Amino acid sequence: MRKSKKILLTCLLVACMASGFSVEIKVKSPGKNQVILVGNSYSSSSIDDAFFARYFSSGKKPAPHYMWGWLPSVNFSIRQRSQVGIFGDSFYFLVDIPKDGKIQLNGFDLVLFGNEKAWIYLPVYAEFSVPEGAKYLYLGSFEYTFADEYFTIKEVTRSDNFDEAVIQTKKKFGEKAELVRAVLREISKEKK
Amino acid sequence: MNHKGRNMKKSLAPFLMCALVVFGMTGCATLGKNTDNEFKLKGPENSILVYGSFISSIGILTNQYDDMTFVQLNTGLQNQTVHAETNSFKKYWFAKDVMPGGSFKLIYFAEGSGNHTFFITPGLQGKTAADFKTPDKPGLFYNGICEQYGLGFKQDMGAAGELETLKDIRLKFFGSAWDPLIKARIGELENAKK
Repeated sequence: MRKSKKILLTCLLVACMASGFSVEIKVKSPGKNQVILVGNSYSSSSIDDAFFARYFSSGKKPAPHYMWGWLPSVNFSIRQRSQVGIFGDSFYFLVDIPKDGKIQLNGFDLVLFGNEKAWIYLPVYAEFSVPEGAKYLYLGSFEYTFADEYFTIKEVTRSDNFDEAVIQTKKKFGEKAELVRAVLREISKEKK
Repeated sequence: MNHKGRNMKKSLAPFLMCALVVFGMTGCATLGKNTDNEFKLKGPENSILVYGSFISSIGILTNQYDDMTFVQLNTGLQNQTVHAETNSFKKYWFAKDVMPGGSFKLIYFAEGSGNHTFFITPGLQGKTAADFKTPDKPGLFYNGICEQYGLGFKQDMGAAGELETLKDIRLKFFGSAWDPLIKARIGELENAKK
C-alpha cells in the first residue's frame, strides 16, 4: 500500500475514534461506611439536542447531559451532591451511609450539556435501607416521560435490569464488586 | 519550483486531506452558537411585545447583571432567546420582537438586596407564572404582575396593573411602530375603568 494511503487510513481511524469517544464519569470505590447507589435513567421521549444546543452549548463538540445526585438534609439544604453519570447511561452515586442505615433519595438533577441554566429535576422519591455489608446497591432503571415542552413529569416508571447492572458495575469497579438489590419504599407526600 | 519543493508538496497532501476529514467529522457535531434556526422577524406585524411586572421576594430585580432571559422551548418552532429589559424601581419588564405561538421559559434573572446580588436559574422544568406562551397573532401580550412566592410565583392579571405597566413602558416606544398599539390598549383599559 502506498505510504500516502497508509497515512490517510491512519488519520481516518484516529478521527473515527475521536468522534466516537465517550465521556466516563470517574467515581471512587466506596470506603468504610459508604455505598454506591447504582441504576440508570433515561427518557422515553428524546431530547432535541440540536435545538437545545443552540441555547446551552458552545464549542465544537457539545458536552453530554450530566446527572447530578444529591441527598436532602434538614433545613432544605442539600448534601453530598456529586456528578453521578450521563443521562441515558448508568449512574453511580457514592454516598455516606447514615448511622441508621436508611437513605432518602428525592431525585436527580439532569443538566443539559453540563450548563447549569439548563437543569431538569428527575424525581425518585424513595427511601431504602442499606443491607449490612453492601457496597453497591441497585436501585433500578428509571424511565421518565415528559408531558410537554416544559419538561413537566408525566410519569416515572421503574424497572429491574439487575443482571445488566451487575455486568456494568463489575466492569467499572472490578470483579469483586458485589451488587445487591435495594428494596425501595415510596416516600409519602408529607416527607417529600 | 525546485525539486525539493515538489517533494514537500506531495508529502503534505495526505496530511491536509486528513485534517479536512477530521474537521469535517467534528464539524458535523458542531452546534454551539448556531443562529440559522433563530426567529428574526421584527415589528408589530410579525412579532409580539411582551410586558409585565416582576416583584422579587428578597430584593429588587436588578438590571445590572445581564438581564431577565427567556428561551423558547417548543422544538417544533424556531429557537429564540429573549433578553427582557427591566426597571428595578418601577418593577416592569418588557421584550419586543418575540415569536408568536412560542413557549417561553425564564432561565435566568438577577435580584439584589443591599450589597448582595443573587443570580437565579430556575431551570427548564414546569411552566410557572413567570413563564409565558405568546399568542399566535402578533401584537401585545401582558404577562401580569408576577410575584415570587415561596419557591414559586403568583400572578395578578388585573387591568390596573397592566395599565400602569403600559404607561411606564410607553415612553420607551414613543414614536416607534409599537406606539399605536400601546396607545390603543391604554385607551381600552382606561375606557373599561369608566
